[in-house]
Parts: sequence; structure tokens; C-alpha cells
Amino acid sequence: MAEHLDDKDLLFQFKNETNKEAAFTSIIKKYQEKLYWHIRRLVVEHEDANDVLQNMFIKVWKNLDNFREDSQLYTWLYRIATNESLTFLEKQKKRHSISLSDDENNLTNKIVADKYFDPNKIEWKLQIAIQKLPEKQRVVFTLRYYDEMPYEKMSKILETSEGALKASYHHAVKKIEEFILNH
Amino acid sequence: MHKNEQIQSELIELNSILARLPLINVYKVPENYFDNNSIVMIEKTKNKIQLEGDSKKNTYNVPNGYFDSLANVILSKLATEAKVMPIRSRKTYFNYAVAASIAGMIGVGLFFMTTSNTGEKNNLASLLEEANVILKNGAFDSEMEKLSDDDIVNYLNLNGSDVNAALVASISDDKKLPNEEEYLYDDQTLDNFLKEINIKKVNLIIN
Repeated sequence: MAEHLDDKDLLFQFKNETNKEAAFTSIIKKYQEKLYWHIRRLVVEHEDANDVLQNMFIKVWKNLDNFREDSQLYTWLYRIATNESLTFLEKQKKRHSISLSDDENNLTNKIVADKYFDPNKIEWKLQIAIQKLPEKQRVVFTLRYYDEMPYEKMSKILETSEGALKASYHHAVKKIEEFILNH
Repeated sequence: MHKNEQIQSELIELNSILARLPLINVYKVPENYFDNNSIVMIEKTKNKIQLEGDSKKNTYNVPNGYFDSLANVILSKLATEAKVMPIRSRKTYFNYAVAASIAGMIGVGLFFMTTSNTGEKNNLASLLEEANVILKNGAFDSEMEKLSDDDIVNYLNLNGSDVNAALVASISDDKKLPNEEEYLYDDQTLDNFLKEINIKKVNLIIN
């Protein structure tokens, strides 16, 4: 199936039993990279990101028939990816019975354990600073800074007002800056 | 990676050092992850869906076409059931009918005892006496059990089948009927009520 098909066409093809699998494959190919990086920045490790990505696509397969086309597929996929990532982190937290501060340390430890980690490089400090942010600010910052997402779209994904998202992003930027300057 | 102009100008506005940082992705993915892994991932996703489906598979079987015809079977059963009164309800109905008949007999008895000839008076008197004994001994249910459905139907045919009218007529001057809710919650309500009324009337006759 041609991957240049737009979302509307892909959804139309998905509803046809004959083309269902091919349409789904095209959706995965079209969005996997963006979604993977969004998930990876939240869960840090590749294996975890891979698991979350697979689980989210299973949910997409199961629910795509009921997807209401009044929202964009892209928005819907990001919402699932975000929810799946946060649910994954929540489950991990419960499994290890760790407190919030320990959770931040857990994610920081994962960054430090990365074989490419270099404590002197500002880009790595930035990653640690992001993991120190409260959950919502972390999601908003990564969507804005890395995914370059307009507030309008973000508002639909996170179901939060644009004003609140802007405020959240600005707080995050200030906190990150403070961390980088002090470390 | 290049920064989006809008994002960059926003960072400049915020006077953040992030505006001076290049956009670098520090994380790595296994080589060709997205090229080859997309196919692997699709397979894995399909396998997971298959596995989930398998784990939920029902090991029991149903006859062919069972679910296709189930709705019709249920609907036809419902239709049949609506026509047949349940045994308990039927029995309760007869219970009321006999009670009403007794009440009616007692009421009519009063009239006949004062207006009819001596022979009829004696027959009614013996009937009333019998009813009085039944009610006094609390043997209403056991006496009623002795009656066949045909006996009761014949009796009603001979004496008028408007049981409700007879019932209401026999008690309306004395006491108000129990509330509808009471009948619904306790099917003994009417039995008890009739017994109470009948005892009062029998007492009136006797005294």
C-alpha cells in the first residue's frame, strides 16, 4: 500500500477487511519514528520505549475501528503514546514501590547508565534536567522543544488549555536553565 | 536537527540558554531499528494480538447456529410465558376467589336469613357455620387445597365470576382495601385481610 496516503485514506482502507493489515502497516511506518522518540524521551531506555510503542500500536489496532474522525489521527496517536508512557512509568514506580523523588533518580540513573552518557556535555545535562521536571511539565516540554508541536495541537492531545500549556512550558524552561547553570 | 523558528524565537523571548543550545538527540537506537524493525514490530504487534486472542479463546463449544437462533428462541419463550399464568399466581387467584366467595356467601346469607323461607335459611345457615369453622380454625388454606380447580371454576360460574366486585362489595362498607404496594410485597396481605373481614362479619352474624 502506498505510504503517501493521507490519514483519511488510511482510515478508510483500515475499515475494509481486505486492506486492514496493509493500512495498519502504513500507519505504523508513517508514525513510528515520531512516536518512538516521544516515548523514548519519557521512559528513557530503548527497551522500555520499544515495549510501550508495541503496546500502544496494539491498542491502536483494537480501537481504530471506533476512532472518531472528528479528531486527527496524529493527535489521537500522540495521546495514546503519552498515556501509555505515563502508565508505564506509573507501573514501574508501583512495582519498585519507590517515591516520586526516587522515581526521578531512577530515570536519572537510566540516563547515566546509557553507554553514550557524557556528564560534561550540556545535552546530557539537559536530559537529566528534563527528568527532574514534574510529569506534566516533562510531557509539555518534550512535545514543544523536541516535537515542535504547536500549543493548539498539544491542547488537543493533553486536553489542557493553550494558556496553561504555555505557562507549563515556560516554567519548565526556567527550571531546566536553573539546573544546567548549577550543575 | 534544526530548531523550528517559532520554538527558537519563543526561547529567545524567554531569554533562555536553551536558545543557544543546538538541538541534539543524545539517545541512540539500534542500527536500522526503524527500517527493519518496523516489519518486526508489525509482526510482534500481530503476534501479541494473536496471543491475547488465544488466551481468551473459549475451549467450550456451542451447537452450530446457537447464537443465530438464540434471540428468537428467547422471544418465543417470552411470548409463551406471557400467556401462561404462573402456578403460584393462579393459586393465589383461586385463594382470593374462594375467600371472596365465602365473604359473598356471608354477606348474601344475612339477606337470605331475613327474607327467604326456612329451608333455604337452614342451608345457608349450615354453609355459614361451615365457613365460620374454617375461618376460626385457620383452616382456610387446607380447605382450599381440597378443592379442585374445576370445583372453583364451577362455583364461580354458578355464583357469578366477578370475584373482585363481590370482594369489594363484601368489605367496602367496613374497611378500606390494603394499598396496592402491600399486595405486591406480600402475597399473604389479601388472605389476612379477608380473614379479618370475614371473622368480623361472622361475629356480627353470630352475635
